[in-house]
Amino acid sequence: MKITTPEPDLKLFIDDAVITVFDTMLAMELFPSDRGARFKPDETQVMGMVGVAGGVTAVLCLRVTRTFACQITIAMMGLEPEAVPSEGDVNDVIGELANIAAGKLKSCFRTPGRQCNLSLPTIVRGHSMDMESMSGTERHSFTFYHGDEPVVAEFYSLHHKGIVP
Amino acid sequence: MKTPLILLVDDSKATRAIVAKMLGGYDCEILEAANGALGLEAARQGQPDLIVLDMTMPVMNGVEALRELQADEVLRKIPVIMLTANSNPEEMDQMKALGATDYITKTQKPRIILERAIALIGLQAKPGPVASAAPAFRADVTAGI
Repeated sequence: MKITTPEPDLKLFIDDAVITVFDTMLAMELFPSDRGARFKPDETQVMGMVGVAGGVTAVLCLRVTRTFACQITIAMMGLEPEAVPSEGDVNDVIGELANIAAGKLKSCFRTPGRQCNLSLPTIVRGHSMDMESMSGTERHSFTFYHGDEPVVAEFYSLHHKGIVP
Repeated sequence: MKTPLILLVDDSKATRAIVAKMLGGYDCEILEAANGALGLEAARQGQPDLIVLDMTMPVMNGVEALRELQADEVLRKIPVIMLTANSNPEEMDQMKALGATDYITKTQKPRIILERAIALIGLQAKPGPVASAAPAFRADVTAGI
């Protein structure tokens, strides 16, 4: 399979997609981190997942704590700072952020003449979530911080030589 | 003079809220719909002056809705701005070929929607301070367009 972007650097693509989305939609500055995500074991996490099919077959997951997800929802929807957003609104916002990040990422993997589509977002909530990929799938995890709040972007892709570094 | 009516069609309540708040400081009325099918119904009933149409939605996506709009002799005259998470120039061309007036990606600064709306339907700012918007957009809106 031929990809239009030579030697794509997945980390650069994902850093750019996630940082741009948080900056544009939330005016929140994110910093990439090598120290990994430090989620408290008893804290609920909210994860938005969007599938990409076409030039690349992949799933992009964005994971944050529920507390931060609520802050993000308040910021994105312009709610009062003391507001308690509904779970539906939190799902909507985290799903939309994952969708926009996947949309930006998808353009990095486009193949001329081949349609590349995004799935509708899916939301998963829980404690100490572990994702296991099937055989032939590669997992790439990238951590960002906004203050003390971790944002984890995970990219699961079917391995195609020359696409994923 | 009739107040312009803008129809926002997006399954994301957050995105609709952002765009609606951004337009809140301008002299226009807003209609919202959560998918393409509801958007078509709203367009037929409301006869908006501008439609902002998301591409990826459940039930009926933006491309299908755009095709339906273009197939209608009355509705095809309404300018349509496609709003999407994708930033693919080929899709941009495809949407314009299908009849979209413009195409905006969600990672672009939201003030671009305002600029296009002003250009397409002559949107006018309301007198007085611009209504507050989500933090990400407040600076854009108050910067003055």
